[in-house]
Amino acid sequence: MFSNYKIINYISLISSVILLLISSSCNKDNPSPIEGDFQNALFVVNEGNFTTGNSSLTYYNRETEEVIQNVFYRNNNAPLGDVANSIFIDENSIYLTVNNSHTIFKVDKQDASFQGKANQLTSPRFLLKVNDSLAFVSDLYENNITVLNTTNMEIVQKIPLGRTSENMLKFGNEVFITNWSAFNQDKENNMIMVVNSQSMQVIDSIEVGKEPNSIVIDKNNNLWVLCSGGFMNDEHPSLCKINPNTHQLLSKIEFPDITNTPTNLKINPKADSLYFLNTDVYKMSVDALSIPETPIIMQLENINFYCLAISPENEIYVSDANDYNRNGEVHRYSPAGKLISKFDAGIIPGNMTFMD
Amino acid sequence: MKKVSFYIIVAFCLLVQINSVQAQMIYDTLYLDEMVIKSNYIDRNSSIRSQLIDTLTKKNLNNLNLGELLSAESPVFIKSYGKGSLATASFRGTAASHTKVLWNGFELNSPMLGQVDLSLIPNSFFDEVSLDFGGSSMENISGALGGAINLTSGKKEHKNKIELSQSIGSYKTYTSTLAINLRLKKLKSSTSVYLNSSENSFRYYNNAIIPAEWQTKQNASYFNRGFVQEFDYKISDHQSLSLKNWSEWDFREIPQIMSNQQSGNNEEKQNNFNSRSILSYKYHKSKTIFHIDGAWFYSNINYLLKTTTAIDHEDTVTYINSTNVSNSGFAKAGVSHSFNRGWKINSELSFSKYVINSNNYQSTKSRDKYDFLIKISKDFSNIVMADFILRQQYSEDKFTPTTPYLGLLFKPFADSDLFFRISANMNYNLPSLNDLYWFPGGNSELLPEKGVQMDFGFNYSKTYSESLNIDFDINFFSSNISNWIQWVPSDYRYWSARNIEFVHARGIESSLSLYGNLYGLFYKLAIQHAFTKSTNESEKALEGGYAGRQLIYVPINSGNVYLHINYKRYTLHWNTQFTGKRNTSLDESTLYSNTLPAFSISNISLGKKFNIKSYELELNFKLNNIFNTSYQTILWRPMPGINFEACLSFRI
Repeated sequence: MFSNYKIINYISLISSVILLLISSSCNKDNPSPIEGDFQNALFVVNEGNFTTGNSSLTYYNRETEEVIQNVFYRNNNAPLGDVANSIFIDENSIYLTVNNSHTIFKVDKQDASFQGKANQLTSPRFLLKVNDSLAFVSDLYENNITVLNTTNMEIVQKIPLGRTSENMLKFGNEVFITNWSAFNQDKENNMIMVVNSQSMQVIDSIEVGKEPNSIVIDKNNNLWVLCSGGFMNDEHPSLCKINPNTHQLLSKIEFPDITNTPTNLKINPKADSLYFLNTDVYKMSVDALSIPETPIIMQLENINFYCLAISPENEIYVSDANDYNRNGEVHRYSPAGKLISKFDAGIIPGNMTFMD
Repeated sequence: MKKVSFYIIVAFCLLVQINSVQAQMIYDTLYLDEMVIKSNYIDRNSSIRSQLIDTLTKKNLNNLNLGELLSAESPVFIKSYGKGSLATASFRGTAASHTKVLWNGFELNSPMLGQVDLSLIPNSFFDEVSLDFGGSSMENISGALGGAINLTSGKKEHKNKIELSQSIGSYKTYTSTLAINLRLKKLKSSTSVYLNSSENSFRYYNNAIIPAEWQTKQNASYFNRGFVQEFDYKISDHQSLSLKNWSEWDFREIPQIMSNQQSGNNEEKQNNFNSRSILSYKYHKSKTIFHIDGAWFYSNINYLLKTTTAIDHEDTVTYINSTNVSNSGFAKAGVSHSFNRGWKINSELSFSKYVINSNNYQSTKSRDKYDFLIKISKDFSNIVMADFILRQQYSEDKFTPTTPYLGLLFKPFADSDLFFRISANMNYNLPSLNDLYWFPGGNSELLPEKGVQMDFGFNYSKTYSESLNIDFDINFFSSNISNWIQWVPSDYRYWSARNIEFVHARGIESSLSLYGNLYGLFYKLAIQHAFTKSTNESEKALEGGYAGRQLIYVPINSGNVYLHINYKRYTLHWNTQFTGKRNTSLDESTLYSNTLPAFSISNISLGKKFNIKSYELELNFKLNNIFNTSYQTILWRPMPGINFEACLSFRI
């Protein structure tokens, strides 16, 4: 038989367990801030998963191969946000467009520390500086281009486009804007909209293939637009060549397989070769008349090529989004398509930009 | 010797607890001040491992929902998107669709999603909740690879009674419940009404934005209304008929994550209507029970997402209005008979039909399912009890393989309440209709998920004196689930469901409770702990280098402690729940977004009963999260800090 005294002892013993539980600390892993001074940089914007808020920014030094993950979080003690889509770098700052957080962050070019933000945006995708103080912001849902003052990150005006917008390219005073998404518009998504960056007016539109997703300019001052053909493979994907002065469609090269979904049109530093992703990585001369049949880089088994970038050294960087749930990687290839190295990135490594 | 063994057991429990463990059990019925208390109860006449949630604690949380009850008082981890938001169960390290919830024997899991939103089940709508662990669930249902949660109503004492309670809490939270029990000769009627609303506008420190600041939670309100009406008619001494209906209207706003708080151009909400009816006939004579039941469950879920441009809130850019209607019809009949020499046979045949109308399917889809059960139990001279179950399902024009369960219970010493349990079983979980037919990505070729499970444990109870009783239970389990369904990126632009994962879940569940009466003071102290290791061992995981890593949102350690004290007309209830760190990503690195830190939450309530003539009043004050812990169960979904509730109940 136990005495009540002992029972009380047992209870206090057990109570200590309660206290132990209560006192369990809740420390969060807060990685230390990084020393700045990004050199020979490749920045990788990791999209993260939709509505999860696990976007991040990866820094890679192309010379030393040093990799720093979570650059934004480490120097600002806050997450980059939900579905970071793109990065743009000007003379002093880096602009990070975070689509589902409706935000663009402006951070220091040397250490990625916070300088400002614009957050009254609907569904921002890309930012393009059009002069020293103004930038255009494209939008997945909104039928306007937002003009942003990059000094104070305030919205200056909206340019009605009548369509959604995606990638942009400035040639002279004109900005060529791809209308990739059919969302929230009753028109076909097969146009390049031309906006004058001084008058801030739409001055023309050029019909291309369906779903124009990316745009580059070659050494001959011709624009190239890659069109993926529509969400349900409505038409053959195509590569369209445009004269930016006359706004004329010069040629439209169709992909033979209607089920293809080519994306990520890029150009090399000499601007004489086009690169794009169509499961594998393809390289094509700007003088070619047809889509190349063989890729320069094959996507191997268990690899999921997601985004492409060509470095100032003419090397090819391809991100591997893995299974979209785990951290991805970036593969670095020589100009001839030989694998040089790989490095880790965050979840769904996407848009990549270089900085020296 | 007895003292020594007691010390060893207590020391062991503490050790296990410190290393983070957990368990459950219970078994005792105490009569206190006209109150029937059923404590964590494990049936000692069977190898089936079923835990009854303590009615003391259920009563204390009667104005809350099932998700909140289970996270406070059970070893099941509840993945909650916030108060009033979606809450699903992860039982023994499995997915939400592997926990089946049954209301009086009929499955509440959505035929579309395969899971149940526990935040939409008010505790006041059922009298008892019990958990069937792993293979033990096969007695009641197929496919519960984690386990089953049984909600039972109609066990209220049937004297005439009216009970009205009103609670008021922080963030403009109001809950009203009304229960009326009436008896008219052979007819019993039981009515339960529930009204619950909250603005849910708690303050939290938003460190997911720059600069970090204190914010008020926006777009998180909810409003639930519902009733349960039950009629029981005693036809004769051996026959009874019952009719039950549970109807519920739920509305909730769906808030954005913390990093997306700064442009209020989202309107996201959900409206549900559910109506569930059961008609049962039961014949019970000497050693034979026969029952025949029919049920019809209707569900209408409307999801609305409307976003506008950031500057013009009249300019709509996204509009999704999705309505999903499901009708589920059930019919079942069963008979059980106890024979001489300890033999008992139970057999049941059930038929289920599900019809879904959804604008996410290409056409109306339906599923017919037949399920046959036979259970044979044998008692070998009160020393060994054996249970053997066979289940056979037929669905989508196919028989799933027959699934067996074999369990044994030993009582090695006639004079000691020490029991050993061991069991092994197979189980198959059919894919949900979304897995099969969602457009695009549904895969009509999916196979059922297959579970092979083993359990071993022991249970010890002892009454030392009126002032000290002890119950201890520990259980080890191992479960291999193959053909685990996962949505993965396809060659096209959408994701598609595939049978690709192989998950090994294993762990230890333990519980200890001490209770007794000390000079008129009733106390009960209970500790539960679960250690769960759940890892993906598929070829894909091995190739990807993440085999052996804990699945996301499954804590390795979780547990809870509560202390309940009753003295005269006063009640004190303390509860602490502990949740270990959880992976939010399959990657090893400990970056901020890959792991959520451990947390523990403590709540305390103090109550007093008053009598005014023949009426009884009860006043309760509750402080939740008394240490104002800042925590998240899901990444970037904030939870409320310290908050209070006051509840006044009135009984006739």
